[in-house]
This record gives sequence, C-alpha cells and structure tokens, in this order.
Amino acid sequence: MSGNQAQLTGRAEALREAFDRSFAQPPALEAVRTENLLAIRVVGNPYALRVAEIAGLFADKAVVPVPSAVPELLGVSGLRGAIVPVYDLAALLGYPARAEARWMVLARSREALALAFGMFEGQLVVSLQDAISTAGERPRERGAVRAAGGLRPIVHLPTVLDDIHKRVEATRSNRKEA
Amino acid sequence: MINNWTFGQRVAGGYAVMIGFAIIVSVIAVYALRAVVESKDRVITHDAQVLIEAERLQAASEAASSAVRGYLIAREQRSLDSLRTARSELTTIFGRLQSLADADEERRLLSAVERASETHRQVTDEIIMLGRTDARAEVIERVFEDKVFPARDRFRDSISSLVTHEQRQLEQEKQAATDAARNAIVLLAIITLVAVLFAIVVAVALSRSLGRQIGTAVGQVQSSSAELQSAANQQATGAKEQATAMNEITTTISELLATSRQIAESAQRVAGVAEQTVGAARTGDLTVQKANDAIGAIRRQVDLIVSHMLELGKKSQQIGAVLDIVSELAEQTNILAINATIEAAGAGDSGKRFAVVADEIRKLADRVAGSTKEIRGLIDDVRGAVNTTVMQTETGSKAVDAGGRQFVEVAASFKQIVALVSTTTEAAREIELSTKQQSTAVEQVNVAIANVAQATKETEASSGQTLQTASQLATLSRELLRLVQPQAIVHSAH
Repeated sequence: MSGNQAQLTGRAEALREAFDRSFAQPPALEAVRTENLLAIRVVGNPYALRVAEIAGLFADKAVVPVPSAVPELLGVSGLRGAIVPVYDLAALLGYPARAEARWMVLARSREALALAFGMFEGQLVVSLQDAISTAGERPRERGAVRAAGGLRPIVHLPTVLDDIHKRVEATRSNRKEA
Repeated sequence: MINNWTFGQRVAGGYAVMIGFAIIVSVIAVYALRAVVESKDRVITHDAQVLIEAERLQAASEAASSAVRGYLIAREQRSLDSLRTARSELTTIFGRLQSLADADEERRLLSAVERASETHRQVTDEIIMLGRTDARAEVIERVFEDKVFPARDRFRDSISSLVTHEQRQLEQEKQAATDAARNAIVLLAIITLVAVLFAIVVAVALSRSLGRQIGTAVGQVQSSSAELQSAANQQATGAKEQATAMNEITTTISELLATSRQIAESAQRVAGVAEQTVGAARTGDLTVQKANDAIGAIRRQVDLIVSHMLELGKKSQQIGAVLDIVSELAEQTNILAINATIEAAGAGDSGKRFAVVADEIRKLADRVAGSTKEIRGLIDDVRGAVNTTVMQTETGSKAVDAGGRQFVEVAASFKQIVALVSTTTEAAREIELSTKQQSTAVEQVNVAIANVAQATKETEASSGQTLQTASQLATLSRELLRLVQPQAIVHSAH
C-alpha cells in the first residue's frame, strides 16, 4: 500500500516537473520533421488521420438522421455554428456493419463535412521516417505509420472526400435522369 | 390295583378280611344269641306268665265258686268275705292278663273269660241274694242247676280255652326259639368254614405274591447294589477330581480377591478423577460462556465493520462519479488541446508556439486521463475489495454465528459432561462399594470353598463306606432272596 502511494506520489511529482519544464524551457524547435496524426479505431481496427487534413475533433455530438440516397450519410450535426453532414467513416472504408460512431472529425475542405468513427485513441507525433508510403492498393489509405501497436494505416481524407463528392454527384445525376 | 399294594398293605388287607369275617361271625352269633334269648325270654316272661295267670284265674274262679257254695251251705259271713277276696283276686288277675295280652287271639279269649266271669258273678250274686232271703232249698238248687252251673261251666271252659291257647303258644314259642338257635349254629358253622377257606386262600396268595414281589425287589436290590458299588467307585474318583478342582478354585478365588481389591482401588481413583473432571468441566463451562460473550462482541464488531464497508463502497461510488467528471474534463481538455493543435497547424509558422503549448496541454490531459483510468482501476479494486470484504465479513459473521451456536452446544455438552461425570462418580462409588462387597463375598466364598473341600474329602471317605455298605447290601439281598426264593438261589448257583 505504501509502495503504491509512493509510486503515485512519484508520478504526481514527475507530472508537476514536466508541466513546469514545459514553461521553463524555450519552445522546442523541431530538429527533425514530424507529422501530427490522430490515432483512431474503426470497427476495432487501428487507423490514423493527419491533423493537417482535419479542421476539428468532436465527441458526443448529436447527429440528426436525414433521408438520403447515399447510405454512408449518417445525418447532420451542428458543429461550430454550422449544419454539417456527417458520414460514416467505417462505411466509407468498406466495412459492412454500421458501428457506433461517438467521435467525429471535421474535414479541412471547401465544404464543411464530418466523418464519424468509433474510438479516438490519442494524438501521435511521428517523424516522417516512421511514415511508410503504401499508395496503390487502397486509394483511401495513403501510407502507414509505425506506432507502438504496430503498423497503423493512414486514412487519406482528400481521397475519401472525393469519393463522397463523386457519390453525391452520381446520386444527383441519377435523380435528374430519373 | 392289588398288584400295586405294598407288603404291609397286603398283609393288612388279609388281616382286615379275616377280621371282617370274625366280626361277621361275632355279629351273627350275637344276633342269634339275642334272638334265642329273646325267644326264651318271651317264653318265660310272657307265655309262662300268661299261663300262670290263667292258672291263677282258674284257681280264683274255683275259690269264688267254693265261697258261694260255702255261703249257701253255711250262711256264714266268712264265705262272703272269701267270695269278695276271690273276686278281688279275679279283678287283679284280669288286670295283669290285659297288660300281658299282645295278640288278638289272647285278647278275644280274655274278653270271653271276662264276660263269662261277669255272667258268673251276676248269677252268684243272684243266688246269694236268694240265700239271704231264706228261699227254699229247691229254688236255690234249681237256680243252681239252671244258672250257676252253666255260668260256672262257661267260666271254666273259657279259662280252659285260654289256658290251652297259652300252653299251645308256649310250645310254639319254645320250638321257635329252638329253631332259631339251631339255624344260628348252622349259619355260624358255614361262615366259619368259609372264613377258614378264605384265610387259606389269602395265605397262599400272599405267600406267592409276596415271595415273587420280594424276590423281584431283592433282584433289583442286587442290581442296585452293584450299580451302587460302581457309583461309589465313580463317586470316589469324582471326589478326588473335585478336591483337585477345589484347590484350583481356591487359587483362582484368591486371585479374584486380589483383583477385586485392585478394582476397588481403581474405582476410588476413578471417583477422584471424575470429581476433578467435574471441576474442570465447570471451569470449561465458564470459559465457554466467556468465549460466547466474546463471540457476541466479535459479532457486533463484524456488523460494525460490514456497515463501515458498505459506507466505504458508497464513498467509492461517489469517488467514481467524481472521477467520471474528471475523466470527462480530461477528455474535453484533450479534445480542446487537439483542436488547438489543429488550429495552430492551420496558422502556419505563427501557430507553432501555440501548437507547442497545446501539445503540452494535450499531454497533460493525456496524463490526467491515464491517471483517471488508474484511479478508476484502483477504485474498482477498492470496490471489489470492499465487496469481497463484505462477503467475507458476512461469511465470517455466519461463521461467528455458527461458532456461537457451537459454543452453545459446547456449553450444553459441558453441562452434559458435568451430569455424566457426576453419574460416573456415583457409578464409580457404587462400583467401589460393590467391589468391596464382592471382596467380602469372595472371602466368604473362599471359606465356603474350603468347607466344600473338606466336605469333598469327607465324601471321598464316605464313598468308601458306601462301597462297603453296597457290598454288605448285596450279601444281604442274596440271603433275603434265599429266604423267599431258594430255588432262584439254586438256579443262580447252577
């Protein structure tokens, strides 16, 4: 018991030092080029999203379902004062079952659009050396990153957004032809 | 039935029959003598007396007639006096005859005599009156001829008839007495002859029967004396074995006596130990009661612990709720930090410093989130431990209850032990007393065994005497058999 208490005290002390150090040290200039990624899980599978392709991260936002010809569209949600369509990332990545989507990211694009997924694990700051390019087989996944849990595919959001635009356009054209 | 009679009974039976015959003979003789005597007495006292009285009556009648004739001849008062005396005599004789008469024929003849006497009296009175009136001799003679003589003759005839009847009666009675005496003599002779013949038969039968019976008995006595000899030999052998056995029994009883004394001492020690056990059991009972009280206190403490544990569980839940808030705040902080990073990334180089701060905030939020996870794990551990502790405490409480019940049972067992040990103490004392009595009894038995051993020796000696007596008995039985059945001795000798 006393051992656990000493461990906790030590950890609190380390946190306090790290916090103080962050204010005491000058801003760290990146010696190596790094990239910020968000570690997520889609239907239990690990993925990563580039922070640069994201405009915001949200949790537990209400999604109002709307009728749509696009099955990947979960509904619409109010994010930062705008009504944003929310698409299911799992469906877009080809998973058949629609899983629970508690988290969503706002894509950095011309049109406001959110992608929902099941679980957010944290932020990853990786060097570009750790990023592996695997373009070719899956167009929505551009490369992967080597993290603690192994290789984590990086979802290429522009490709995903293009797919969405194509589907929407195809649906519109189908509706016009009909 | 007669075959089952004893010797004495048979002899007594024979004598009884003979005595019966003698009594019958005596009774018959007495009866015959009494009959003869009665016949003779009747002849003497009745018939002879009646005959005498009849003769006297005849004499008195003659005297009366003579007095009448004398008065008529001499006219003297003396004749009348004689007549009165004769008549008085007649009246007296009539009275005695009437008292003696017991047969109808006698009474009829006596009545005829009385009537003739009365007629003769009237006639004589009439002629005496004539004589007093100085009547003439012819008249008197005529009256005499006409009345007195016929009356006198009838008077005489009637008396003669009476006398004749009585003489005949006397003869008949004499003959009857003689016949009765003769019949009695003949009957006595016949009965005496029968008695003699029966006595001979009884004597022969008794002789044969008793000889045969005594012979059989003597034979049995001989065989019995032989058996008695063998039995006496066996008895002597048995007495020797019995004496040996008695010695062994004496030794065994001595050992038994020593064992009884040891048992008595052991029983005394058992009683002492039992009393100590009673004391220990009572102390144990008090200890159990104290332990029971302690268990009650433990139970109350356990209940208090359970209550505190439940309270601790509630507090843990509350901590979990607060931790949820902290966790949510950390998550929100994390989201804000990431969004700040995103915004900083969007701001280009000017946002790099902000990005660094945002990254620090994010790291801090990550650490807070990690710490909240650890705290949650710890709280879960605490709640699990609390639940386990509550369950174990309840189990412990049940165990304490069970222990309390077992202590109650132990207390009851101690009381039962006290009662049983008291019973054991009493039993040990009774055993001690009984063993002492047993020792006394065994000593008495020892004395008795010694007496029996002495008696066995005497039996051994007496069995020798018995053997000798059996030999003498065999000799005596042979002599007795020779007395009653000499031919059997001869046959057996051959």
